[in-house]
Amino acid sequence: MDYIIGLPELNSHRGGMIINFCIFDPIYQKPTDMSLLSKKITELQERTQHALQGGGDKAIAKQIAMGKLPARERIRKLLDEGTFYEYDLFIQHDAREFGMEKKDLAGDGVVIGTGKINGQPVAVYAQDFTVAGGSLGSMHARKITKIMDYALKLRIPLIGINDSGGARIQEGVNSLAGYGEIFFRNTLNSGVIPQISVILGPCAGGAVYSPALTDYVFVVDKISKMFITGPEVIKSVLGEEIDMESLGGARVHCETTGNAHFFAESEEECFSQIKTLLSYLPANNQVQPQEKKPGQPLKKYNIVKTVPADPTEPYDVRNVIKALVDNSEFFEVQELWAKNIVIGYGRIEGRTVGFIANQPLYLAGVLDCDSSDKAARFIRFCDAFNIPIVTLEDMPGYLPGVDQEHAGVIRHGAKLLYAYSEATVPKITVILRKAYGGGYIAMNSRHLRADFVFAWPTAEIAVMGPQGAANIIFRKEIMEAEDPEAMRKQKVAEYKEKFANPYVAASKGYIDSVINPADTRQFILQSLDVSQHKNAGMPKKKHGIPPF
Amino acid sequence: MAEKDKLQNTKPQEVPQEELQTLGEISDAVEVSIPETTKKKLRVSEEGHEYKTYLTKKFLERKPWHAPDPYKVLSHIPGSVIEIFVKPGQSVKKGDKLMIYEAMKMMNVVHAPMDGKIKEVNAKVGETLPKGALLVTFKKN
Repeated sequence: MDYIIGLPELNSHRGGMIINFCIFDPIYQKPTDMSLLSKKITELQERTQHALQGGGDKAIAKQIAMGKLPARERIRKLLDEGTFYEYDLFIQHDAREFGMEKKDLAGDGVVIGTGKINGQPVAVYAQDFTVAGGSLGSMHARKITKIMDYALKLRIPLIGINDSGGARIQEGVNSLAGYGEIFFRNTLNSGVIPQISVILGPCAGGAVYSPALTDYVFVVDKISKMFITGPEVIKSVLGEEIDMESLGGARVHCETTGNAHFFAESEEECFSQIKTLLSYLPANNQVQPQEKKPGQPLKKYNIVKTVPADPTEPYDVRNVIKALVDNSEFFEVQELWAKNIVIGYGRIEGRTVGFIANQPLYLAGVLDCDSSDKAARFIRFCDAFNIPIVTLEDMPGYLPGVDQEHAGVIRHGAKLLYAYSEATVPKITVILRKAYGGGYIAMNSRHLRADFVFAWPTAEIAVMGPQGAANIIFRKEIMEAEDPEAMRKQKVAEYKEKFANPYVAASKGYIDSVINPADTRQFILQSLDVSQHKNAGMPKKKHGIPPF
Repeated sequence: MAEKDKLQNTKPQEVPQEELQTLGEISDAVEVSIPETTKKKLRVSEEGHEYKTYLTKKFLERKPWHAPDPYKVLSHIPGSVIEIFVKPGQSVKKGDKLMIYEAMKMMNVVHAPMDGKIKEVNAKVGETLPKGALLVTFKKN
């Protein structure tokens, strides 16, 4: 092996004195230099080898037996081949209590570095469960905060792989301080660079708040576990018995709590989801997402045939989105939670677009606490990262009911209004069928500063459904009629004809065009084209106060 | 006028000393879900430090967690049953239509969550049901 470090001519005039820089000098061959340096290099290799072992073969075998990959293997699989460069390999923990001073924890249980995904640079950290259970001590936290600072400074996405038993108890408050420093940076980075959390093991107690603060949380079935207090504590305090999987497993967080965004069966599937997600996102809030080669929607998704004209008939709105986007590729976010609203990414003529659509297939597509939360957060993400928003509207309104009211549907529903009103990226709405009541306003109406609002001829835009409206407006007539039921029917029909259409709203200019459903993609494309230099501001403020 | 005076004279409700004791009674109502040790106090530390605390109404009225029964099909939304396609004893495949359930201006289709045999159809056509009502029960294998 020939190492040439430093310029030969520079070394040559110093003669044989130089030992620091010259390993192999083409003019003066000094075997002594070579041996000293190779000794140093050997030492480096030995140290590196030792640190790369993590918790040792036994611990790694245990990790694999649990169905999990070792930390570096995960990074290798996630990043483009050969692009990962690791930093802070030789970090040592600084705990001096409880016998910790004698313990050698390789890299202090976390791997950090930079690399590339889809050819784009990213910063990444991965907790190493084989080293002291991936427990978080002060130096462990310092490594994580270091890579977070790099990500912010370099304006590249941050990916954190969580697999940790929690705080390192021996380090006491230092470990809590570490968590705090991470949460603070998560908040600081929020809206500047995309932050992704991958839960590939336990993530319990305070540790869960880092993922909660980041933009997207990925979980894997049977491997991911997230909770604030575990089954033991719940049993001792409340007497409720529950196993870990039902309490905070991957499925629970994807279906019930909404804490996680992407569900995968295996770690490999999870990594491929991350790559797909990143392909839609920009590196930071100052740039646009990468454009891809434009494509056409597949023929099998026919927008006209998908949506039944009868407004009481359900259908899958995802097929409408697939009929609109390039190659019919739609990448859904939070597919399993609050299914009555669909959110996700697609491309139109190569450019990333965020879609929000009511899903008539579930809960009749109503807005409720969860669906408002889900959509509002997605809107804020799109707005922060220059991704235009297309809203497909077909919903009967907010869900009535005691449990919704008591769960705070007023506050949660307001989040949706806030997010839409605040967003300054291009905002386009297409009303497919029903747009009733408060929901009409909330779903990116003209009144919340939508740029373009289109309606299909099947659209029904009114304050409430014909049944309810007729009962209120014509109560007297119906009561006094000889045959109240016939009168009611007549009045419902009357109301329906008058108001259950898009033309009343169009006559006021609340809708820009009533369009042929078959032309929807064209209208969206044209609207995006003309909105490229959109400049909409906000009054000067430190920040708004959304109804969190 | 008199009513207004009355309102003004009403003192703000003080929490009487006995309230702490009545906590025991309130807890009795939920004896099933709260173990003996935590009836009046929630034990926070294991070193003998015990902290007394009031329990909120929301906490006391909360439904204890029960593992969901996969063999029961429940309504997700208040609504009414329009049409039922299955009979007890019938075998169905996952995704088959069980019934049409009207809610929020929509004829929602209730699909079978799994392959199996119908044990009982609990809902009746024309019935108006709340959220969480039992619609269909599957036979346990």
